[in-house]
Amino acid sequence: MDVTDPEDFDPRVIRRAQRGHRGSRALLLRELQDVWYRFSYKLLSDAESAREATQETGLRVLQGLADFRGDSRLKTWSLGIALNVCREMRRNKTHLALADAGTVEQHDQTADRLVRAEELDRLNAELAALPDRQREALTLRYLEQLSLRDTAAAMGCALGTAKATISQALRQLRQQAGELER
Amino acid sequence: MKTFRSENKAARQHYQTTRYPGDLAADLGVDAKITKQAPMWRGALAVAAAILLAVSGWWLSNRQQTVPLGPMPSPMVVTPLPETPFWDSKAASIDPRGVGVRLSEVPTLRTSRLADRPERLTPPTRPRTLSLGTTPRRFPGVIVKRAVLSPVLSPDFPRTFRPPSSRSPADEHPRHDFT
Repeated sequence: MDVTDPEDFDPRVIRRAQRGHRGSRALLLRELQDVWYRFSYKLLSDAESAREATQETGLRVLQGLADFRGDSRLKTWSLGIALNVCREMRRNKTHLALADAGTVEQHDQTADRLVRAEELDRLNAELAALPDRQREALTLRYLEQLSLRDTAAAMGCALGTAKATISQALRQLRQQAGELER
Repeated sequence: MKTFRSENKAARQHYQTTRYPGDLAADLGVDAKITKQAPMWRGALAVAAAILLAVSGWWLSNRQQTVPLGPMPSPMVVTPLPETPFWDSKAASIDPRGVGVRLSEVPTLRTSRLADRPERLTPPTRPRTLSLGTTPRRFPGVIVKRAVLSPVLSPDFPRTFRPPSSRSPADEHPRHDFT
């Protein structure tokens, strides 16, 4: 099931930003900073790295905004840039331990929320254990709620390749969950 | 995958709540001049108003300056032109009707014709005799042939002689009934 992102930018804002209008550029950055940060955080599993990746993504988006033709949505196009940034940072930095992956700040102190937080940590750990491309595909498809076509566009691959990667990632998670249940 | 499906929604909700710590536009220096857009607009308006006030003040000051007219000109006195007599006192004694014009002095007049036909200048004279079939030679150089059957030339045609000078167009072309 394709999940379409209801968020869409006004084409006039994008055109003004392409012409160099600072207000429009700042608006785009503020609207996409959370998207880039949580996506980078999911891939890099580190807050500081995610912040650096977000800033690098913002710079590259502003530099390449003039080349954006509007074939895909701006969010999808920018997530492709964020994905490349995270891949480069992964190559340059050592991968963090699985124990630290997916650790989130827990502000909720109720029992139910703590249980849910534990489950989330486990899921995050499972996601972190996946290969990079499978984790990227799952993050884009299920956490960012992009459509299959947008996921493939962000990953820079064909639609069939994205589908195959996602199915492999889900199979991997099932195996991990089955091993944990044992 | 039961685990993933049951936690998928919660994970997504938690994932969506993750926020960038800070302001990316400010971190990248894009937000530096956003707050200045309103003052820039107001500043431009203030500059335009100042220019307008300066121009209007200059225009008003120039408008109030009057050019001295100076003394009123004196009324115009029109003096009649001296009458130039058409002729002088000596010429006044001469009757202009008696002044002849020498035709030879008229440049456009062909004097050759005058020499050929001097009788044109003289009024036609009355013919001495009137004989039937003859007409006064008003135009000596022109031969006028009249039809014999012309009723005008018939002996019975009553006519009275009139000198050419006393003829009228009705006499030249009398009306007569041909029926």
